[in-house]
Amino acid sequence: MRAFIAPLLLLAAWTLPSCGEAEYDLVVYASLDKEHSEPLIAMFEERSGLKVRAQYDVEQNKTVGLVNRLRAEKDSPYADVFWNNEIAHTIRLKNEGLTQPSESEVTRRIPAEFRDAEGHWVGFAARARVIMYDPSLLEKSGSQLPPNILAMTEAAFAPHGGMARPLTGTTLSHFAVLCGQLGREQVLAWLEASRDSGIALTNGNATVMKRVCQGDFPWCLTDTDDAAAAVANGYPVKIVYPDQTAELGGTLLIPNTLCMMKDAPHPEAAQQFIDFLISPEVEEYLANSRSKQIPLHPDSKAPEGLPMPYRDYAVLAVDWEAAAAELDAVLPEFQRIFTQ
Amino acid sequence: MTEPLLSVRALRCRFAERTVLDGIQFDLAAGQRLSIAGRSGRGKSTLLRLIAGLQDAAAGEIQIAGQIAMQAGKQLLAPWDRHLQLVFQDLGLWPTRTVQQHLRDALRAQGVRGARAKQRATEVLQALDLSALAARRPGRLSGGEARRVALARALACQPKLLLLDEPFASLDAESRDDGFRFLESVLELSQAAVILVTHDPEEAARLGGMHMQLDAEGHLV
Amino acid sequence: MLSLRRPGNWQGLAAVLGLALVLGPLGPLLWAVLQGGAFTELGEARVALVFWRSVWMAALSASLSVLVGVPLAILSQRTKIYGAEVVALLTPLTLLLPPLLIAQGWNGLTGWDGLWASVFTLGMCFAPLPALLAARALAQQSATSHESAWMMGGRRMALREMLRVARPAAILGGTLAFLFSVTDFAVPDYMAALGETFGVYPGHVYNHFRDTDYWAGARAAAPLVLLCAAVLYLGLWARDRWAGEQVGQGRPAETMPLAGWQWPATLLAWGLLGCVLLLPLARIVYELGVAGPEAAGTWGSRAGESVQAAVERGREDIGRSLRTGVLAGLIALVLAPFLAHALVRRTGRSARLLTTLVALPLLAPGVGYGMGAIAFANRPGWTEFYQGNLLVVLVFAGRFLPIAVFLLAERFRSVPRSRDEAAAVSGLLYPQRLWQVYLAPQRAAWLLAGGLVLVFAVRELDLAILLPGANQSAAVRYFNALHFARDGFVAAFGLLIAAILFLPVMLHAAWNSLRQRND
Repeated sequence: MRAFIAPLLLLAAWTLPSCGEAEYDLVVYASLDKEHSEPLIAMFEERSGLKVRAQYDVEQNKTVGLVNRLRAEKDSPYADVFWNNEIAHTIRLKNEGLTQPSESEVTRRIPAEFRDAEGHWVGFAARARVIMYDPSLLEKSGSQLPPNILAMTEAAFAPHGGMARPLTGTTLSHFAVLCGQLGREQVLAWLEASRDSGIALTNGNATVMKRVCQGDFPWCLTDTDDAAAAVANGYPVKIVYPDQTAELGGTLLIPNTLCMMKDAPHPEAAQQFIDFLISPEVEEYLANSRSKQIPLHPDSKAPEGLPMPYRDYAVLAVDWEAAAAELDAVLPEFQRIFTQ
Repeated sequence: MTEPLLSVRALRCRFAERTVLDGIQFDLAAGQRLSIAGRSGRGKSTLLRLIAGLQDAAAGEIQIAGQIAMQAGKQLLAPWDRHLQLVFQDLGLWPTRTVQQHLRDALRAQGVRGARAKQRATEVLQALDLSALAARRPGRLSGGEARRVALARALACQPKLLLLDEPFASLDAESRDDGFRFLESVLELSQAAVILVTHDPEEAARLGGMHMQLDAEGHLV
Repeated sequence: MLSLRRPGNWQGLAAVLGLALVLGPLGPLLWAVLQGGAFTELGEARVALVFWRSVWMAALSASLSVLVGVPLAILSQRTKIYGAEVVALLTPLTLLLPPLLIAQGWNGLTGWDGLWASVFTLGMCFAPLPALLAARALAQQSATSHESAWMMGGRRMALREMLRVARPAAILGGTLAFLFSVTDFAVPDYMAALGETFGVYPGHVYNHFRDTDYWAGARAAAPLVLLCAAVLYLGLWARDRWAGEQVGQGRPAETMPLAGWQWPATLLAWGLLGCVLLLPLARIVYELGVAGPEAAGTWGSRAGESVQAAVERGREDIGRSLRTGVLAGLIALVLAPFLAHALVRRTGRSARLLTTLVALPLLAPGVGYGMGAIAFANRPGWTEFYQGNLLVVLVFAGRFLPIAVFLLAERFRSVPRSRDEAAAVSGLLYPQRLWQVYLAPQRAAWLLAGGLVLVFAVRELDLAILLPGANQSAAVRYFNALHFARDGFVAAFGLLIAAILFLPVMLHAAWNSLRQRND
């Protein structure tokens, strides 16, 4: 028996020290791709000398993710900073009283449309909602790209394209914004119609991008970072920035957002981290990365070939507070439409 | 002279370096009885398994009902074509089947199906006074009952030769008595020849017919 | 005074410790459900439709698992097909791969999508469950019960008897396949995303967990948990109904000669293994270096980069996951034997009810379990405990303890009661008795029970996202990359995790073969 138990005790001795808890100077919840967020957090640790505990999110398996964890932890906050890769949930957290203002000289340099008037959140490094297409597939299909997003479900275009169901991520935010702009009833009717229109409805932007790459259909509505990933993987796809007429208002930009959590255990370190992330250096790093995030800081230099908002294409003006409020109201409706 | 039902010639069987059976040779006529006694581990069960076609030997020939079943130690005839049944020492009952289902399965193997199989199974159970056990599974039978069921199953196949591997081992004297009476009724019904192997000389004597002994060298004397 | 010889005292202690592990996370969930309204939504036509769709889809998947798993078990365990040992060894590997990865593999290979592809994929993913349980049952078939059938009716009758022997295990395996299929959301969601859209009930549950009132998720999950408990109870009842005690002399039944069927049977076995594992695995390997026509480098160079990235970026996460999993496994190794023994000492309805109750932590949705753990452990003064790995270890151990208990209970069932009673009469202390009668002869199974807890702990995603100490783990890195479409990295990292997790199975096989050689 001893000969059997001894190795198990050794195994326990090897693993037990992992139960001890190290001290941290900052806790960050990050929902950005780990491949990009991890090196930036490491860079911050190196420069500041602070020890950061990062917590990451995933969406593919439909976990409730970090947003609900922040809600569940509200009575005894653990996180200092929430680094969200979109904006709507950040505002929802603010409206639920889970964030606190975190303004500084650095945050005030970000354009007003991408930061909260009360200083609860600040945006940086955005993604645009674009139509990605494969020119040769489009030609073979004998169809054309939809002239705007609302035309996507028309009979001439729908069978040749795809989009993610608006239940999570940027697609959810996008349609919440559209509800605010066009009216909830019209968007809900449009989504109802989309189910039978022939447009492919997928579970995420990465999936719909991959289906274009696989040749399933010629175009899709997705994010610029997914389109950039397709290009990086060697697929001959191109991007169109939709809705570039005065009437339609422009392409939707969805920034990464940062907010400091209410009663954050390490507020100074949190502010330091927020200031670091919205610096031109970090934005340029993300713009040059595989995900080609779009810089928002006026001092950030965009890499050559990356179309810039306002300069190269019109950007939809959004009341983010209203969009977040809309999201709360329409999400159950979206779930009703797409969970059948 | 009539052709024997079973003819065993120069049968030899080895396990690794040990010879368990050597030069086994005997004939058995239809309806004849043979008991083979010997101490544990002398190869009695192996001899029955060889006759049943369940394993190969090192050498030897076996003929059953005029057909060559084994040649040069190799089994040529499938067990189910030998017109025999083997009742194993641990009986080999099927744990998920009721007593009646045991009999019906055995009949089905003989090509008797459906209502006929059911009727025949019922008849056998009645003839052997086993009707009360019909719906029971082996796990709910006593040792003596299980042995009677194993014999009944063998009988249902209407074998010409019945091989019994210590069928009453581990039973008390009274149960063994019952068992023997039951065996007699089975043999009366089937008219089958029988080979009984046992380590108990008393059992061998009780069966009647020929008696043989397996010695330590694996010879049948 | 408490006696060290009385099993009840030890089993009671183990039950109290086990309860302590699971009550923290389960308590808030149960409380939320008890607030009422858990079943009102099922009255809505849309929700009821989705619920029943989930039920029949899972029933079909589980049936497919049994149809594939049982032949695999018979062919690999009881015939001499070419490579039988390899088939037996590789069959469980599928359980180590996330079903989503298998789904992606199948879709990549065949282009299948939609509802039927989901049914098929889940059927393949969980076919190893009936296969493994049936193989175990077949290995225990008494030699003479097989030979009786063989003598009377040849191959057909022997095969029929094997199917009867495997039936109780196949029922239990099918039940488990049903439970895993009906609660899986990733595969239906993925297949619905590619083809015709359809919803499943776990999607409805997850949607509610994303509500501002996230306890709505617990209420939405209640009907699914109840269904799972009922199916498990029925599965156990059916298993007991068809079970029979193998009476034999301990000699294992020999493999069945196949004669002219050797090649067709071999092809069938390898074909089934191909569907369950090899084909999707081949596609995953292909994914290592797949890229568009304008990509730089060759497939080989890209695959090499993917593997290198997986090792470099994932090494520490895998190490952390393994440490946590090992500790959870060790806790299970200590508690599971007592609880398993308590289960096998009971029979009939009380055993089935107790088994269903023990399964509860496993049947609760992972997200809910995680939210429950937060509600329980995130409180002032508990910060170190909340953010540390100890909480993770305890939560993982509690959630996956039922797996170890069930595995050991299945093994303990084959030990003759008389052996246990002899040990009791001889006056051994209860732990000594447990060791000598049950554990020492089945060391490999005991280790495997701990190993399975380790495997499930490493695979667990929902809890890893929600618990601070678990977040820097292999599962989070894997699914994070999956979400962001890092295909090569995902393939390489998935294969790396599977290879590491497969180690216990390999060790188990090596142990068995060593033991057989020594015997």
